Amino acid sequence: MKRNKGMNWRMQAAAVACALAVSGLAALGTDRVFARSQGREERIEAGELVAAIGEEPQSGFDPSTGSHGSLTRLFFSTLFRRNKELGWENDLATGYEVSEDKLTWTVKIREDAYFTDGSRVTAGDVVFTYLMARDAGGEIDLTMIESAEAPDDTTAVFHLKRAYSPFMERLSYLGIIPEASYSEQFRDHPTGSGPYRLVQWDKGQQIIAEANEDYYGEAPSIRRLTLVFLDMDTACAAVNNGDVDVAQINGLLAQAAGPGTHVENIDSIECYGVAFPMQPAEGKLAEDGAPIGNAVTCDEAVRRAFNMAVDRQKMVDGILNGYGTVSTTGLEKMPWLNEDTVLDVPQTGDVEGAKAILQEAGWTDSNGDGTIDRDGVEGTFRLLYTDGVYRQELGLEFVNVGRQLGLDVQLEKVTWDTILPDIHQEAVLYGFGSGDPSELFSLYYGPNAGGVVPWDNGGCYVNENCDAQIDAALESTDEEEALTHWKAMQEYSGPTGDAPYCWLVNANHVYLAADGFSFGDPAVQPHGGRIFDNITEWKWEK
Amino acid sequence: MNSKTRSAFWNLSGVRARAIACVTLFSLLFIALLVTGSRIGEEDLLVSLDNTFQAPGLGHLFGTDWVGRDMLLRTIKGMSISMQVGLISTVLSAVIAVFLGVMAPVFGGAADHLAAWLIDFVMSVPHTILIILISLACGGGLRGVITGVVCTHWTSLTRVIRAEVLQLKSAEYIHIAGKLGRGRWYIATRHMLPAILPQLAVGAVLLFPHAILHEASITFLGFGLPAHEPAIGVILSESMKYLTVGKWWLALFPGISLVLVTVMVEAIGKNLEKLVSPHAAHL
Repeated sequence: MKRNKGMNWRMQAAAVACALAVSGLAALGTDRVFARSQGREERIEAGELVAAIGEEPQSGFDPSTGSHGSLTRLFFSTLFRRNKELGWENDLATGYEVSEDKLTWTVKIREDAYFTDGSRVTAGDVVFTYLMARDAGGEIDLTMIESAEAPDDTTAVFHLKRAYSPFMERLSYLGIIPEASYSEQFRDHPTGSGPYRLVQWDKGQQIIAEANEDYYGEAPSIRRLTLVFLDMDTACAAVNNGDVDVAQINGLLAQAAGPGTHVENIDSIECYGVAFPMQPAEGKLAEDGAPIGNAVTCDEAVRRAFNMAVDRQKMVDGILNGYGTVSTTGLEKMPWLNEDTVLDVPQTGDVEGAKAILQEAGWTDSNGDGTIDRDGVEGTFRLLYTDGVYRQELGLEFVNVGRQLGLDVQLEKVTWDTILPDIHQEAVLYGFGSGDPSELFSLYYGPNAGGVVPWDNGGCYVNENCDAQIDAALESTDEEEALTHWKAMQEYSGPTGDAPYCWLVNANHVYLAADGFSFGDPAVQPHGGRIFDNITEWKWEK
Repeated sequence: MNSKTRSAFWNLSGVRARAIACVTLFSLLFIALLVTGSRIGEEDLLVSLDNTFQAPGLGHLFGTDWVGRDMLLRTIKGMSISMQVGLISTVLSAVIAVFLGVMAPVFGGAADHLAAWLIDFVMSVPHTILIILISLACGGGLRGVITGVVCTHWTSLTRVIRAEVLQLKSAEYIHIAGKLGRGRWYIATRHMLPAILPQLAVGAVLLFPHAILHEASITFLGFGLPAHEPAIGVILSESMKYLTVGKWWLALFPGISLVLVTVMVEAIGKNLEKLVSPHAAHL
């Protein structure tokens, strides 16, 4: 018996050793021992592309259940869309009008758009899509729509419950679906009017799409697109050996680019930052019963000290491998940034200055335990992070900075489910950057604190002046006017104001692509990516 | 002691001498690793972003990781965490094994049947899967891993002890003790337990490599210790992300260390067996 077990463990040990040896050799030999496969040449000839980008849409393509992110652009058209300057342009729409009281939006749509089943896209389909998505309560908040109707085939009218200046953005997320062929199976077999049509979806493996011959817009140069779903490092290796043509990677993997491949470095507003609990720990509870407040981070001095002490450039160089930029406001590169609130980056990374702030506020190590304290409160809190690119590394460096300040930060990995009991009472590392000013409402609006969406204003920041500016921005009659209010609110919510966040870095979106492939001229990428927005520009350059 | 016996002892030609030397040396190494590891605190594993991905060299024998932490320190720390988990699991498993292994045959009948059935039942399910399920059910983390490992690793040792005790049951001195009016509990604790102690010690030591490998493997798979603990399984799974970039030292040295520690403990167990088993001692 025992002898048997002995063999057993010995085999296990041998297996571990073999696995290590093999993976070690594989790593050394990614040095392109693989012969370049013929497949890619043939794909280039035929205008085909295999891409490992993004995640499989778990909830399918039904707009009533999910927003399926950037993939919407592949199979569906939306009424409007963000252009490359983060302004608006028409997609399915040909124009729009807003009534005097800002409560009625009338959108004209084009007549030459057809679904892949051959039927024409009408205003009725638009109204159907919006009302269904609103009633289903999906990921896109459409609760501001009171009613909608289609007086004729090319006119859709939306009646809002309240003035809502970012409604344009709501009109540019939802892929329009045909009322006639909508059914239970739609999520797996979508029909849209986008540049591609879905040919085949092997769950867990790949989605195959072919160019939609009837597409009203610019015809895509890639005729057949295969999306495969792989781990980042597997995808990276697959591009190097020719199985995949383009893959989303991160800054560190960029150094694995082999011959015949190149790195596409795309500007992004994907911004990582630490949200501080803003309220004192006084036993207040959120709607879902989670406690609110933290005795350490509720002190502005602590938050300012972190903002001053973090060396953001070091993070960009050491963690993003240079593929990104520093961020002190979370809004860099966005038209609605208030430039006056940006911290002067050469001044950050100033640990001594930050220590002085803490000392002035009364934080000293009075009991000699190596951690500063004040009025019996020890300078310690947890920093929660979730799975994702760069997050652990940024958290580790944040902890490091805390230690230099005499603050004991405990890094803890959680999931978006297990975080809920602590989300309002511990610091949380977030990634944001929707490319839309209404995100400021989600992040900083007081009444959102402790509400139904836990990560909306997760730190429970409440400042009446800030809220007043957000209200004014939402109720503005035009985007121009809204912009002045969006800028004004940052005087409170920015790092020079109450500093509810310590923003760290903007991470560029990095892709490893086969030589000859080009994304064209992609827009600045938001959190989660928008790489499919200019799918029609993707091409093989011969 | 005359010079002949001394040299016979020190040149390690005798099986016993070699076994003693081996057990002593490896046990000391084991304890040293455990102590060193538990003395490594967070302040020794600070992020140093100017120092990332240093290949193994004089400054950093095992190299540094992607945030500039020394891999030698991380490996020792990780090993000691895994060893602590292994130790706790081993002790708990041994306790279960002793309890069931002694009680079942002593009380006999239904109790014995139940124990035998339990052993067969647990052994019939693949270990790794069972550990993952139990660990998940216990909410993962340290508690999950230890519960998982303990719940699956007591079986083989229980079998050995049960067999041992069954044999003892027919021994004359046990019968005599019974005839003299000693109760079952007295016999179990005073007569049986001392007799099985050597087997128990060896069995427990041999159980340890299993426990530590299983802990490392399910942590590697993401069902064990959380990602912010520097356990060896976490180190190995993190290193996978950087293998394609050619950072082989992130996986190689921690992996070798894990194998070496398990081999070392196995050697302790085997040699201990030689020492306590009268049959082996005279080889």
